[in-house]
This record gives sequence, structure tokens and C-alpha cells, in this order.
Amino acid sequence: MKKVLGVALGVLTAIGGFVDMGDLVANAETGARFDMNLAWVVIVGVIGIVVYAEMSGRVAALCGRPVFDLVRERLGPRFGMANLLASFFINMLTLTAEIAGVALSLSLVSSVNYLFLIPFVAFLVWLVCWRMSFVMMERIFGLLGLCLVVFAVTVWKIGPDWNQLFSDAAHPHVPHSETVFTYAYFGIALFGAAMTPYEVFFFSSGAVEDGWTRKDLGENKINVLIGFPLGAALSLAIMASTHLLLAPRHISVDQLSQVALPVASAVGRLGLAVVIIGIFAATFGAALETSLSAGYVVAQYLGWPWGKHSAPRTASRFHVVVMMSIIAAALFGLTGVDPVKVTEYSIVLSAAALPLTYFPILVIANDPRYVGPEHTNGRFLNAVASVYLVILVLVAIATIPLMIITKGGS
Amino acid sequence: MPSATHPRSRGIGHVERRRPRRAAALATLTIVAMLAAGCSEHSVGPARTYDDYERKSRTSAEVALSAVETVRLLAETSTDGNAWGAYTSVSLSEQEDTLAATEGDFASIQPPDHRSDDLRATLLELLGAASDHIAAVRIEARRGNLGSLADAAVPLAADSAALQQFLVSIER
Amino acid sequence: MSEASDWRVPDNPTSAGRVLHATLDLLDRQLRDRNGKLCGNVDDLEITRDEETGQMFISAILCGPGVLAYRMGRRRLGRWLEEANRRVHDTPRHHEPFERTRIPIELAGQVGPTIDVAVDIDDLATHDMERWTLTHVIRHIPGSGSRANQ
Repeated sequence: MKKVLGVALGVLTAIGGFVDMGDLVANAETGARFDMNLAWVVIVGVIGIVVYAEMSGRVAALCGRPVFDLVRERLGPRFGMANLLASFFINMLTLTAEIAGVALSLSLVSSVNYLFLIPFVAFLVWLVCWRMSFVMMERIFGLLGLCLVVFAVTVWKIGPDWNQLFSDAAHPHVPHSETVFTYAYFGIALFGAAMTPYEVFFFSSGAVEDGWTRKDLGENKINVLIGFPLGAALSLAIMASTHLLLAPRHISVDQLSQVALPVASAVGRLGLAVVIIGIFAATFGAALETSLSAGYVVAQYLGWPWGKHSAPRTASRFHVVVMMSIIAAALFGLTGVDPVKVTEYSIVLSAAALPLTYFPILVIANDPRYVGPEHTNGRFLNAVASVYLVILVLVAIATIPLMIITKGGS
Repeated sequence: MPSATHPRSRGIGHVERRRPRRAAALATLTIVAMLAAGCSEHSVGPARTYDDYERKSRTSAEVALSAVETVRLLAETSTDGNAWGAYTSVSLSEQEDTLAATEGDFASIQPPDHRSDDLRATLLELLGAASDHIAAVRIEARRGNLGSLADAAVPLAADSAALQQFLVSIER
Repeated sequence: MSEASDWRVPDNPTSAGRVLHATLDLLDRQLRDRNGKLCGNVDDLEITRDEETGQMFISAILCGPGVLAYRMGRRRLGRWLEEANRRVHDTPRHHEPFERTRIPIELAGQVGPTIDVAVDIDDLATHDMERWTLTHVIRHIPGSGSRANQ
């Protein structure tokens, strides 16, 4: 019984932790602008992250070290350095977006301008990274993130023609008001939002922090196979709610407050309260994950002691990196840069850097010296993972040109 | 004893490495420059032809329409009791700022020819009206009259229709 | 050692033992000290030529500030890092800074996912910055000493 409860908790945490600022913005924007014509991208994206998260969890459980830690020794310090620089830079953009997201959600209940709230939020994020235990941190913010289920309630309350909805999603086309370039650009953004690199670093380091072993492999699979797809379903609910309520009114999403509007309109005050709690939890949780990821990637590349599992004193440089990242991201946010724009750039650039992150995972998960001879990838898994690697490379190549052609998606 | 790469020995390959490093740095700078140039906001920047100008007016009108409709929906939601004061007033202010920014950007673009002047006058009038009406809703909201926002938002229906009409008229 | 290794196993190895491929099994591996603490990566390897037989063999593991930079050809960066670390190093200077980045190969034990070396982390240059950060930054922040509550 206790085991079942533990597994259920893991799955629920995975669902609630799936959505972050990038998913909120990407799904809401595409729902309002492209209706359900990009829904298939979310599905492709979630399969990708399920495949790779399973591999990185398996690697962490079987050799006690997270994937990023192994990149330098398996693929060389130059590749590791390229990976480190790209990941760190994109991580900083993401962290800025998440902190701004938390501040925005608080401003919607307090009327205080979100810029004034950023320093407070940054301090809170740091405090939790400093003092709260890893497990508690995951659980609290993962479970609170489940509040975002209210988007599914919203769609249900609107009571759409379900056949029409599914048919639209299943027969995607480029809408008349858009070009194939903007369609591809937003597709890439959605893809990057679903397959966020920091998620994989955090997941993998988290598995080591939690002390996973061979016994936990099964639980890892369940968390990933059930939790992430359900999280993706939440993303699609966000897309559907803006498609049904905002698109017909010619409303395009450029503020976080508009993401919550369909919920308020369809479900009422209680719905609005729940969704803002959900947005707060999702963005706060993601801020924690990205700050820690910043520390993980630097410390692991350079061989420093790292981790939250023991006192901060035992991993000084790691904690300094985490602290500096939070401060830098907060300062960037305080320049008044548009949080939604920063979010868009972070997910699009994430998409461009995906091959750097995912290629090592595929290599290491196939290496019997790391995962043991019985736990290397099966042929089917390798086939799927390889197909995804090709997709990732194509996406990466297309990103920068599309960014220029569409002028950042306008 | 020193290693092959330690400072006290002669580094072997370090000179040849310079060229690829420089090339890589140059490539990165080029990409960043292109990105910065390419990702600038659509509505700012000079318009050289009527078509160009028309495209920018379309973008501005679309943003304005979105803001107007968002405010209408916010007013409706608030009047129905489905949102609280902070949410409504913060959201309204955001839309007001967005519209003001769009209006300012569009007004600052130099119309390329006389034909564009008419377009400019029409759109600026629409944007101005929408701006005033949105401000009225925001003022009511910040005064705490959340239940009567729908009344304050009535003029926006006409603004919305006018903007949609404008967009249709410049479509080819 | 910065290029792909041309080193091959000599036909008559002078001692029995595991055959390792230096770049794959040793380079860039995580090091652990005698107490199990993480103490850097194998940034570089020192090769010595045996005077009698003319054979090349690995005599030490090099790790610490600047070593990786040197290996990757960034000599100025490597020198800068070394200098910065010299300032931070606060134990008496009876060790040449060079020595504290050098772990004689005899001290390397278990070679597996990590390489265990029979040294204390305090003996290594890689720990200087960690210690400096601890005393000057971390210790001043409340709550740094105890484990977070479960």
C-alpha cells in the first residue's frame, strides 16, 4: 500500500511539475493564434521527453551520477564546454522568465507592480534552494502545480463540440491568417517548451540527490510514462481554452494575465484563484529547478562537490553559482524586459540547443560501462530515440533562420 | 616532470588552434547580430512603400483589436463577479499600456507618400478612440466599481467593429 | 595528452595489471579523495619517459585550476586561473603550487566510474577556491551548517 502511495505521489508530482512558464505562454499563444493546428507538436514533444527522461533517470539510478556529469568524460571536455555554455546561457533566460512569471502571478492578487515583486521572489527562490529539503521541494510545488487541472475543467465547462475539437487537432493545417514560416516557428517554440533541457538535467541530478538505485527503475518508468503525458494533456487543455474563448474574439496572448482569463470567464472566481495558485506553483517550481540546474551544470563539469542533499557548507561553490544565477536573472528581469518575450526566446533557443543536450544521453544510455550490460537501450527504444535525434537536429538547423524570417514570431 | 601541455613545456598545438577559434567567434558574432536585427519589433522602423506602411498598419490594428477585445472580456468577466479587483485592474492596465505603445510606435513612423496619409489619419483616430474608452474602463475598475465595468465598456463594441472593418478594408 | 593518444600498450609491460586506454578510462574522470569526497576531474595526465627502457608511462594525474585550460590550448586563461588560485591558497608555501595539482599515479586506487585517490582533499589545489568560498561567503549566511530538514 505504501509503495502504491509512493508511486502515486511520484506520478502526481511529475504531472504538476511538467508545466512551466514556457508551456503556459507557448500553449496559450498558439491556441489563440493557430487554434488546435499545432496540438500534434505537443504530442511529438512529450514522446521525446518521455524517451529521454527515462534514459537519463536510468543512467542516474544505475551509475549514481547524473547525465551532465558524464558528458565531459564520455564525449570530451570541448563538447562538454560547448554544452555547458549553451545550456547555462539558455538556463539564465529561462530562469529570468520563471522569476518574472512568479512575480506576475503575485501581482495579479496584490495589485503591486510585478517589477517591485521580483527582488522578493528572487529571495524566496534562493531561500528554498538554501534551506528546503529536495524531496519536500519537489512534492510541494509538484502537487500545488496540479491546480492547473482547472484548465481541463475550463474546457469541460465551455462544453465545446468534442468531435470538432479532436477533428481539428487531428487535421492540422496552416491558418489563412498565418504563413508557413510563423506556423513552423511556433511549432518549434512549442516543441522547445515541451522538451526543455533543464528538465532533463534537473531530473537526472534529482534522481541522484534522491538516491535512486536499481530498485527505483520501475518507479522511474511509471513516473515518466504516466506523469509526463498527463502533464502534456494539461498543456493541451491550456491550448484548447484559449482557442475556444480567445481566438473567436481576435484576442492574441501577450500577457500572462490573459492566460488565466478563459478560466475566470468560464469557471469564475474560484477557478481564477485555483489557476493563479497553479501558475505560481508551476513557475516557482521551475525557478527552483533552473537555479539548481545552473549550479549542477557548472559544478559537474568542473568536478566540484555539488548537491542539496547535504549541508550547504559541503558544496560552497555550487551554492554560490546558484545564488549568483538567481541574482543575475532577477537583475535582468528588473530591466523591464518583457517576460513573455523572454519566455519565447528561451523556449525557441532551447529548441535550437536540444541536440547538444540529448545526444549525450543517447550515447551514455547505450554504454554498458555506465548502465551495466543488462540495462542498455533496447533496439526499439534506440530506433525511436534516433528518430528523435534527427528531428532535433532538423529543428535546431531551422530555428535561427525562422527566427529571422518571422522577425521573432510577429 | 612537466606534461606535454603544462606551461613549463612548450605547448605544441596552440598556435594552429587560433584560426578556428577566431572563425568560431566571428560566426557567433554574426549570428547574434543577425538575430538582433531580425527580431526587432515589426511595427517600428521606416516604411518605404505604401505596401510596407499598410503592413505596419495591419499589425498595429491587430494588436489594438486584441487589446480592445481583451478589455471587453475583462469587463464582462468582472461584471459577472468572476474576477477580483487586483486581477482586473492589473490586466486592464497591461492592455492600456500595450495599446499606448502600439499607438506611439505607429504614430512615429513616417508615412512614405500622400496615399499613406489617409491611412494614418484613419487608423490613429481609431486607436485614439479605443485608448480613451479603455482608459475609462480602467478608471472605473480602480475606483472599485467592478460590477459596472460592462457599462463602461459599451463604447468598445463600436471600436472593435471599426477596427475589424479597417482590417477588412486593407485586405487584398 | 591533449591530442588523441598515440600511446599504445608496450609489448613487454614492466608490471602486470589492467590495460586501460588513457583517454577513455582515465582522462576527464571524476576523482574522489580518501574520504569519498568529490575533488575534481582528471584534467590532464603527466607522461614520463623511463630513462632505461625508453618507455613512456603515466606518472601522475594532473587536476586543478588552470590545468584543463592548458590542455585545451587556452594558456593565458590557464595562467590566470593558476595565479588567482595562488592568491587564494592560504596554507604555508612549502609546496610549490605545481605540486598541489599533481597526484602521483601510485596514489590512484580504484579506477571505475570514479577514480579514488589516496589524498586528502585539503592537499589539492582544487579545494582552495572551495575553502575560500566557504570561509568568505557561505559561512556568513545563516543556515549553512546544518542539513535541511527532511
